[in-house]
Amino acid sequence: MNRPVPFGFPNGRTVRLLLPSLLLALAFPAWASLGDNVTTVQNDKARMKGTLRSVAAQSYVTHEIQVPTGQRVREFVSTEGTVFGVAWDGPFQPDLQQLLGSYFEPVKQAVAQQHRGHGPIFVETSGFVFQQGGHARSFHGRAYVPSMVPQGVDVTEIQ
Amino acid sequence: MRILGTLAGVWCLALLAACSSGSGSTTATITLVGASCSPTSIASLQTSQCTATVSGTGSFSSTVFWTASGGGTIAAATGLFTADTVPFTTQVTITATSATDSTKSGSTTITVAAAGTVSSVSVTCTPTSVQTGQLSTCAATVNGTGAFSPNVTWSASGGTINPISGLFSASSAGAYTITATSQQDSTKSGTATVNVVAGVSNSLPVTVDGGPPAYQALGNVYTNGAFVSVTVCTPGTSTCQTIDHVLVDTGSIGLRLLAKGAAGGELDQTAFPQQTDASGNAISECSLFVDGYAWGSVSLATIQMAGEIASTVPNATAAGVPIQIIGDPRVPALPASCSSQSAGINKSNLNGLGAYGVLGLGTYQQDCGPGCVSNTNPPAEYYACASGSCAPTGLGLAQQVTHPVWVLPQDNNGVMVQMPPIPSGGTTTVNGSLVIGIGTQTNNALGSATVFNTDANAFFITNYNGQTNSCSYIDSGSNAYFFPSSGNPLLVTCGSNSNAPGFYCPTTLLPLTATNQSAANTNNQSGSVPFNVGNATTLFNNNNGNNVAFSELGAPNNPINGCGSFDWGMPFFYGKSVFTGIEQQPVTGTGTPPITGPFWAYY
Repeated sequence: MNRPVPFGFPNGRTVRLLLPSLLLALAFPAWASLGDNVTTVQNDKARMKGTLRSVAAQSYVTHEIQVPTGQRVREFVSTEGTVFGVAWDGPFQPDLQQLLGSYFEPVKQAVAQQHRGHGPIFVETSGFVFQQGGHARSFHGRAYVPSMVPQGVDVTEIQ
Repeated sequence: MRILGTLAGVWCLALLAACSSGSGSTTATITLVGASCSPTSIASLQTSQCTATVSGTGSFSSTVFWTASGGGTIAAATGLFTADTVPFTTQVTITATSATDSTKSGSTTITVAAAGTVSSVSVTCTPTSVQTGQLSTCAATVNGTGAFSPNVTWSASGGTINPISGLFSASSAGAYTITATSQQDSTKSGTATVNVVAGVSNSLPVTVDGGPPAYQALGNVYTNGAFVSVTVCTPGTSTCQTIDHVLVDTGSIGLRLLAKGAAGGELDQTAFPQQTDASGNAISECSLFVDGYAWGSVSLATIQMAGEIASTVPNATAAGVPIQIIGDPRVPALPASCSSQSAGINKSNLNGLGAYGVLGLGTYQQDCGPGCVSNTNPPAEYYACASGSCAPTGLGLAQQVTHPVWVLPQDNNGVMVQMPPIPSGGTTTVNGSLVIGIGTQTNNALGSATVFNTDANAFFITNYNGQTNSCSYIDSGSNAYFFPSSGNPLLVTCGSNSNAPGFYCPTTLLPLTATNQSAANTNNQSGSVPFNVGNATTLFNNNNGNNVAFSELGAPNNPINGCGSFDWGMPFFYGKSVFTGIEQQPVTGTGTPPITGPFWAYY
């Protein structure tokens, strides 16, 4: 799953796909899991029964699903179509197995091995970063694949 | 001789021949000063005009100064006396003293009549029965005629009473006589009786000891786990079981106990009826923790903590308080929709949970609340189970797993966790207390604690190293200080192959400081907190690895902007009294409006 940074935009080229605040429930039916291509996976939005909003930034697009039960899920998709990061918050957890895709089991294994505490999870491996915080009735977290983060993107933007 | 009027000494009455001011005489001597007032008998608040008669020789000054012995005030220059409201008929002595010769003075008396007559005093105290340490407010009714004084002085046969306000409390049980005495007429008084009863036993011993022996036998140790014993009974019966090693968790809500058998717990689940929905389907729950999930039944129990007994929930039809029985074998298998929500640990057994139960004592009334009520697209929290399978369902508030303190008949506004300080480097056992109620008995007063109200998500603000962490919280169920490190000192975690992966590993013990702050738009309190973070590998190796309680254990946390999180876990509790106030529950005796949850407070 590790691969070189696929591309970058050293010249500051902007891919402005969509206008902020534009509701695009139909324009982006496809949804993705971490590390996958946005066009290859199932429709998470429909599964989460949420509303989708997509916002373009320099060198990536943020797809945000607002779930009726209060969770907010964001996927960060490079201009190449790769989901390099996901983030979530709200009173419940989203379906992380779906959201993390093929990373779900490796993340679980890493958590079980590294997390000897009782409290927030903060796991960093060479392949991925997984962070989970909060407490009952208010959770927040994120995961990303450092090798897939487009050049020039600050990982603190994955939130 | 001359008679001086209202402006003594300034002018002479012209009709008097002896008026010789300015006559050119060289020697002035005062021989006599006389005084008289009119009228000589007045009522409270009325006035009487006094005049002086000054006799002397030569060109003497007629100026006098007026004084009164009490019962009112007299203007020193003009001689106008104004009576006070006096409780008894009072003789007031009025004196005029020569301004030029203070040895010469004259006096007269004025009689000031009492304002009215007090006939009786009666007293009522509310409530008439209180627990030790609780306040009863006493009020007096004074009856009488005329303009009598309504003021009383308070006294009590024991305990303490404010002599002005009549607020009464006592620290030991008994019947106390409260007396209000008329300030105007001390022969008139009234009494009431306040019964002070011993408070319900509300303190449970807390032990930090590494976790259940059976858990440790699996090769584990529960670092910084604070445990109590809780007794649960079949609703409406005296059939009870006491479960030890129940984790005290201010970061979750409700009682969860591990079933015996395959799950590895102590509880015999068969003694507790399962919660059902309107169709009679058994209810199960997927309870989410920040680092895992637990699957089991929702069942009904009477919960005993020390002398406190939680037996019903408001608006519930079934007896008992909903709890979760984790690993309950009566429940169908763990659904994928539960486990897929978490990348953490399956806590449905002893090895995952590390305890025989969790006593959730956070700031909410229910573990899920309004977000779980609707049957339209319900979250994967509560499940209705039938024919061997379970599906997410909405569940009413009264049927949800409930804060066991919130449903108590008394002491139901929160808890205090009180732990002693522990040595640097860690220790093997710590004994503290879990006290039920806040400001309800003599052992749980807020005292000097700073109160921090939280926001709707049960967060407050912790400022650390220039970063504002507005998703911060105090959580006895977290076993370290979990906080984001940035800047200087930059903390790094112990190696993944070390004995402490995931904890901070600074080379030396670091003294650090953060500032806690109420959630935005709440009660605007702040206070700095010094804390230490040591090398977790060293800590875990101390004392041949036998230490299980550490006040210097730190670990990283989410650095997300806008929702950075400082989790004040168990290390924070050592050496402190930490209060967790339940939402909408007031702390009586803390002013108007009273301090009301949700809040954290500590001293």
